[in-house]
Amino acid sequence: MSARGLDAGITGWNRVSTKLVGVRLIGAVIGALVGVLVGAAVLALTGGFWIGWAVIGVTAVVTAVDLVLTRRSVLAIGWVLRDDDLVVRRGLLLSRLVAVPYGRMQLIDVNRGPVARLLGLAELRLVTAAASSDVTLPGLPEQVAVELRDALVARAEERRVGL
Amino acid sequence: MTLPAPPAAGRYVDGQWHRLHPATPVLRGGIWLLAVVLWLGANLRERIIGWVFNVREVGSDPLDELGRYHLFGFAALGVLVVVLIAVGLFWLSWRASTFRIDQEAVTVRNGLLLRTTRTAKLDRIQGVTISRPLLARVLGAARVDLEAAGQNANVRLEYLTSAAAEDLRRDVLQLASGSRRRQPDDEGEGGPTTPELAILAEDGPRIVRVTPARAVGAVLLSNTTVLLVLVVAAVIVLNVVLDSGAPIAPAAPIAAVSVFPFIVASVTVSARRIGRNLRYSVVATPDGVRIASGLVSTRTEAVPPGRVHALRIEQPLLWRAAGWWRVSVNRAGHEAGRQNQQVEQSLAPVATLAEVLTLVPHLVPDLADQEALLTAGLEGRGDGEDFTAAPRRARWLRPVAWRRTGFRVAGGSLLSRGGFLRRELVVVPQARMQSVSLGQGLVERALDVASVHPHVVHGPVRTRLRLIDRRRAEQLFEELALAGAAARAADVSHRWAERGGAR
Repeated sequence: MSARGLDAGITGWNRVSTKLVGVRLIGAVIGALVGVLVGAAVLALTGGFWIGWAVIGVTAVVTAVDLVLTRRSVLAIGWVLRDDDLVVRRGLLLSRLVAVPYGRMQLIDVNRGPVARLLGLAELRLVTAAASSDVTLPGLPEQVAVELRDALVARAEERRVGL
Repeated sequence: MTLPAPPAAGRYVDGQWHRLHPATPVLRGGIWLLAVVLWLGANLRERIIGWVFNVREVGSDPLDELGRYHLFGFAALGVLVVVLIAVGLFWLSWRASTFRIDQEAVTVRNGLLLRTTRTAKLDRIQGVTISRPLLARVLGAARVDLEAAGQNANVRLEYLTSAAAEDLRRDVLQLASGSRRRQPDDEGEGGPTTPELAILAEDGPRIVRVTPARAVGAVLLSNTTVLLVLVVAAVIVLNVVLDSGAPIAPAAPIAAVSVFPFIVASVTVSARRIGRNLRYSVVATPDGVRIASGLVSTRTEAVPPGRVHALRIEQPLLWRAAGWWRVSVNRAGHEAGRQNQQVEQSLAPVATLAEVLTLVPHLVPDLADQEALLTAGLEGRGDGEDFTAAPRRARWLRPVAWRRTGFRVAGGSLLSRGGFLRRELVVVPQARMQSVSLGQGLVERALDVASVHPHVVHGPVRTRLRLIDRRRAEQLFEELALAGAAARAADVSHRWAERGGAR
């Protein structure tokens, strides 16, 4: 919370599960492995061509930054149900706050990635008629995701409006 | 039709199935089929006659040969059969295409083997376009596109007679507007003979009219032209420089040849733009504004107020001396397949300030009688007319344009002003906003500013507001989130005529 990002004076943020840190870390490690393998393959096939080292170096830097920021960026995610809209907050370096009115929601998806499913997490995705408002809320425990979806659908039904 | 006509109904709004213009199959592509058959016949007639009648040596003129073998009758019969089959197929496909309009929806049935039925709710219709390709115009037919929100969601009625298309457009718009009363139809059957005359003569004042001089001038004063002049000048200079001194100068002709395609392309594009601008007019009717444009294929497009999700008024630098502006809008139903056609998307490709000030209230009714505000938004800078200007510290992000950057919430709309060389004013009616976001990047954080982005349906107008003081931005975000909900609750402008005072 605090002064780290924007919050527009909104209080009562719900945080997402910290298990999402695990999902992200596994993703980062897989990415790192792929990068190192590609680099090593280049080195082996070309006999020490510098691009191989470059790939490995870039992978190392990206992974390191990822590992440092993952926890904080997961903690930066928040959502809150207000009277008329759902507000979702995301982002550490580039922070973003989106308010989606219930009546504007056209579609609500619940997605589960393979790693997230192992840890019992799901991602909620909202679509309105505007492509730019595409909102995703990752790292919800499956039960919470389903309940939140049902709550949103119910409220959307109540307040449906024209375009 | 023995049914009693419903009170609001026009000729086609009766819930019955209607057929399309009899020439429809020909216009839809049958003409090409005919052309191919005729071409084959002309080229292969010796072969065909020889094969059909088992005649070996077909001489120079096959008709003479037919006469010699007394086969005229059979030949005529054969031709007749082919024609009958073609007509029969055309007739079947014509029979298979029907449409129905009732108080709630338009339904179109199509297809002989693969039957499709498409239904569009009338209150979701965003605009009606009547277009008349050249061939259709010759036969007095017109195509009607009912544009609904969503990808590829147009309902296309092709083809109707021109007069029927006009009636249909009026009826559908009136139904869609929630108006349940039929306007007295003073035209009758003896109305204007050409649709162009009808469009120009009918319903209310023309509020934007592009004169030929302006149509040409607007295109000549565009970036394309400037680039063209620069390129040609560069080639000439290159030629002169290289010709004068150097012993061998192959570079100059090569340069000339290499820019030739560019020159041709820009001239073509410019000519097409001029063509679109010519005969461009916007008519204010009780149902919304109607746009007519084009010389070869006339499009008549209706834009109801309250369907406008975002509006931009902009002025390229070269137009400033002439005082011209371009008006573009985002509206649902125009997402698919139109993204690259900027001219199509500009609602008024070139208009004077007075015309813009008249036009805007027809598109955003909340901004009626706000000329001072609009003018300040178009031409002002700083804090005039209660605009909230960008703070001085934000100049690092927009060294030139920051002085013009500013916003104001007025009359249920959000106005965003910007651009120093290329001035623009963006208007977002709050009732149309889908959602709103508040964002801040690293540099913005260092300068303690943020951006607010009202999300609207896709279109040419970008609605992000930048360089707002962070506290003010948080406040605005909150205001928009709340006001959006309130405005939506009060909003009936998607069925605008029900408010009583239809404008």
